Amino acid sequence: MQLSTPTQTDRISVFYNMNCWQKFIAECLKPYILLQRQNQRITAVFVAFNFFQGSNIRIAFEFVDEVGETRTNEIYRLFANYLQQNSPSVNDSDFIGTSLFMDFPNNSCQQNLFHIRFSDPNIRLQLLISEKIIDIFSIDLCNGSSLFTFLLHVIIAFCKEWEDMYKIDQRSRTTQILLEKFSAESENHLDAIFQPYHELFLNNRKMILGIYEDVVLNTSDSNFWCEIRSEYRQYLERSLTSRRGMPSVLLPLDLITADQLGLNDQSLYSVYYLINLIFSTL
Amino acid sequence: MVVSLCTVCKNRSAHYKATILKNIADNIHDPNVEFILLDYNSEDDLEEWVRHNLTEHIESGIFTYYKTNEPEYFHRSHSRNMAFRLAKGDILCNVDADNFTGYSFTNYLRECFMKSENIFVCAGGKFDSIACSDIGGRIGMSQEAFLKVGGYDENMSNYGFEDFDLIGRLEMSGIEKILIKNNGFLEAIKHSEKNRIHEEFPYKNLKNVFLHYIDPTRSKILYIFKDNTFATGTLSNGVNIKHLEEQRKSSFEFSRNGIYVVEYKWTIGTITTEHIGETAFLNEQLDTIYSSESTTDGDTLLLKDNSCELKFHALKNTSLLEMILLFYSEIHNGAKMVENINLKIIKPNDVQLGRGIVYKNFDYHNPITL
Repeated sequence: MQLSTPTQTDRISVFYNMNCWQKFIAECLKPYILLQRQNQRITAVFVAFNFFQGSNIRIAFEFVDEVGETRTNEIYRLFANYLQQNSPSVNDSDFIGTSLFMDFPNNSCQQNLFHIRFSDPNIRLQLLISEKIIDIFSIDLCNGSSLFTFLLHVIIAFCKEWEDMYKIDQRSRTTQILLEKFSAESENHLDAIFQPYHELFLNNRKMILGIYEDVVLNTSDSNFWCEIRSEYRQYLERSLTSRRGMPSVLLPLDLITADQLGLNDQSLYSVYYLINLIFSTL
Repeated sequence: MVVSLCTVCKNRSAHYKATILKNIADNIHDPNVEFILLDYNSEDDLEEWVRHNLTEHIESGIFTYYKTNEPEYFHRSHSRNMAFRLAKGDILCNVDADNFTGYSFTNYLRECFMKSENIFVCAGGKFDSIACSDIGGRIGMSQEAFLKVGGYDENMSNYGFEDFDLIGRLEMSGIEKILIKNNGFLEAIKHSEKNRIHEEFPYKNLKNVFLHYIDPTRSKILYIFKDNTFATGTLSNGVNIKHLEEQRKSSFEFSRNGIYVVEYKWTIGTITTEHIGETAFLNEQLDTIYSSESTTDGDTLLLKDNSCELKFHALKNTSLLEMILLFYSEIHNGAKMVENINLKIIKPNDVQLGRGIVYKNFDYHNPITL
């Protein structure tokens, strides 16, 4: 008997207005994934949000058997038909003079615009986050605020794992990251740079500390945050082995995670600032 | 065997101040070392700072300050050639203003050359893995090797690849490359991309950058300079373009931040206004490639080529403008590097290299003509 090797489909980017992402995930993407899982056809799904050349959802599948043109066409047709029947939105960005390339047409599917390797040692964490993206954003509306909140959850989990593993105070570590990045002389300068986030923290202190507890105590129904921390620990261990010492303060995987949610470095540093305040409060 | 550590500087005094005292302290125990600084017509406080802080080393002979008052813009290759010509050492090594040499770097260099004379030492070439791009300029060679390859290629007037090109030509001429493996010798101050190009002609003279969006994967870009010159080419984001695949297999990849240039090099030329209200864009062969009835000052520009009218939009995003200017410089120099490789040009400078007038240690009565 010959074992089949999992391979991936062509990667698909669904260019669609962000206001409609929740509906697309709930009505089209999630049911398709469930069906494929029931039929034991897929082993993994990667999902990411992206805003380059128009707001879009990046999707890639790893199938159990060889991928043929038929299957690629099937997925492409499924998504394209959905967009055709549910295309209320106009393009929500103005690229002229602000971008080097024009946007891809809204309500369209494009193939192979991004790279993903299912054999990458760090992919497990990205796949876990993909699962959570599908769960959360098939129910909740997707917007800047909800994406930022999700990133805050994930980075808290990373920081907590870092703290447990290296016994390094996360308040000091995040302070160091921020001071270096913004060439700031003191923490007071950081408060000025991140003034809106400082106010956000002061006005929503209880809720933000509640997020910390959710993640650290894993109070939700699933085991999700434990799994995330376990994957991150393995990543830290791999980094430790390859670098022969403690990893640098800011790790690529943190940036990759922000990128998976369509958030830029600035958002990640804002999250670090909030985490800095959380750890200062504890 | 005297080692000359050569640095050129134009309006980067902040970096030089942060590195030179440490570099001197780290190598001063070596009796056969000289530090050369070529002040390439800086307008900042570099000269004043050197007067106040390095006089002791000037008097001891370990440090020499040269200044040229001629260049309006920073010319990386020309300035380095000048500095190397001023050096008296048997071994010449470029140390960028933002670089730290590390402890006893000169001894390391000397040891390398004592093992074999037919070598040069560098942080890495185009195909080597380099710890960070800021130390790519560290190249040490013998006086003889410097003259054999004719120094840095002065046809490369902008930022990028002039060091990789020099490394390539040294190798082509049969000189063995030795990579500096000790990271202690390869530290540099982190700085912005803007710092790399802000004293060069393209940055100081840019009037406008326009884009014509062809489709989501390609855009035509048009750089217009204040002296009525222009450069144009086609950018690609690398998606679904078969010929880029071919290009990537070749020895040199024209890309920055995932952006590629489709053509081998920019089309450059001049903008003329022969009739009132009519502008012509002439390439180097003086063929009209675009004509227009609109000016190049506005937010949009309508250009006619042979077949149709193309609408160009001014690029307004500041960070993209800086990146795209860096890209302009790199493509310009990169194309020349590829030409040198493909045509096996070892000595590319037609004229005598590093020409100009300099003054030594603030003596402005006795010009030195190079």
